[in-house]
Amino acid sequence: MKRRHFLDKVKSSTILGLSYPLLSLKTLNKSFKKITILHTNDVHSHIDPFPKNDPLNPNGGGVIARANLINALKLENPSTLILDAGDVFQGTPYFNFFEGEIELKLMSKMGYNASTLGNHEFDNGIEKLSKSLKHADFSFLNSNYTIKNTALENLIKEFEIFEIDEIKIGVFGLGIELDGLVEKNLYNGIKYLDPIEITDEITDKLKNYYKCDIIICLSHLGYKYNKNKEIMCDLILAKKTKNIDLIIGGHTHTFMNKPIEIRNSIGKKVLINQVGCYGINLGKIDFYFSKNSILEKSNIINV
Amino acid sequence: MIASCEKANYLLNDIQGNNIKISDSLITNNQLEYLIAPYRNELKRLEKVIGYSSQSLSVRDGKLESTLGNLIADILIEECNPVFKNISGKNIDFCLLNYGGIRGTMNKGNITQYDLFTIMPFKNLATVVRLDGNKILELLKYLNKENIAHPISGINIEFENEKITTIIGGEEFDVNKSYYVLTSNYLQEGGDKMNFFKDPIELHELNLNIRDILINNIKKRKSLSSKLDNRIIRN
Repeated sequence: MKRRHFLDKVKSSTILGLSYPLLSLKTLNKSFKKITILHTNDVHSHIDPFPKNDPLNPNGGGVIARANLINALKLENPSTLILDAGDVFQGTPYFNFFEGEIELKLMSKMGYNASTLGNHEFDNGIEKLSKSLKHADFSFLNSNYTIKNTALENLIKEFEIFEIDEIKIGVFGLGIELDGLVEKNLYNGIKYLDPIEITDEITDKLKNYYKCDIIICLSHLGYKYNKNKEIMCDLILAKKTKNIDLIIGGHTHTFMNKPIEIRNSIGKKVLINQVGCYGINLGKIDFYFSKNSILEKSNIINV
Repeated sequence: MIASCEKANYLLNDIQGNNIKISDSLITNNQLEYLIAPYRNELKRLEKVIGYSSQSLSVRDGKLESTLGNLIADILIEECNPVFKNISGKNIDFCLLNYGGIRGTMNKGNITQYDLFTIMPFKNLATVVRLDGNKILELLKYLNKENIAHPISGINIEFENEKITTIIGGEEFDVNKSYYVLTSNYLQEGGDKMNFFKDPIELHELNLNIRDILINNIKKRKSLSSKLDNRIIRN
């Protein structure tokens, strides 16, 4: 990722014959940094926009419009990650007939960096899912399904660290309990593990060992369940863990106008955001950083 | 993946977020259009008109029932009962599907096969189970607790707090009797936590895809309409 990013920069500056001025501009701005996270969830194979006569979302969504918006925002800030929180599959004939191939090819072309497994990713079973994943040149992240000895082994990563402009972003994924949601024979061999324990373990690693500056959870747990407040959801996850900065949610098709702020188990701020479903909205979160002189000093003392 | 443990000296100052509406773009994107075209062309054959709807039907236009849910559950009983009678000699007593199984809306005007794939994307098969009275009681309590428009047909239900009055096939529900319930294989296997469908007295797979049943039925009708008829109410 870092390398590709760097090469892009070299390429563009060489073409313009402006490599020196561009580099010096970068040095000038170095004390402030902005990382943009763009995200979707529950797109459910909606590749074409909604029809003009749709009562709820006339002309809404569509990958062409999404790609154009992503491209425009990336021009504004090249330090951008594009993420998805699962249920890429199922909802239009594109999935019934092509089994996820076109969805994943399009996401790859749009520059997605990572997604996670929603329950509908299992709708054709583990074997077919593992075959369709070869069309994605970005990672699928999950850390609470036991996938060892299934066809998904080696195709799913627990987490991934992206380094953009010297900022390290650790991303991991959590999936919903599949029992009662997906037919058993479609996820044979996969067990659901409690997200809280896993999160503490992984985020500790991301924060303290890998020294990530931002920790993002791609969650398909669902925002909240009013009928049963005990069911694991993003609100519970945010409150009962530490270290997560942003939860990008899915499953409940919750349309939020903007992210909600929650205090975690040690009183620190966590954001939860979810953009409904069907590729109608794109989430955009900007992280602003500045160079920290105090930290620099303490580093010098350590040396 | 990066394995370095060196700490960057940047502090997070502020986070700002906003969600942006994506709407149909006037600018095209040739690279993506080129990629989509062969797939889209292959799906063109689904755009053949199979029927007409005289109104817009949705699964979200009522509290405990919906126009689209009522229509679909009614059609399923109509189409599946003869098939079931043929194999078992019995009649289906009522039908229960799930709210989450019906996705899109049926817009007013021409209906295509494509629309049906959007409304019912899943590979669900029509399944009939014979349940004893206690399982039916569980089913009724489930619906009372769920409080959303799970589609039903052939049954009338009235909730008054915990009290449930139920009429099945014109007769009051009798806990000592057993009933034949039409549902999908997904729900029969415990989907949406409808656990009362697991381990029934009898299980009959009709081997009919629910979407195909709907498509075939819509082709036979001049036009579709539906209404909320208080088949399930809360006092």
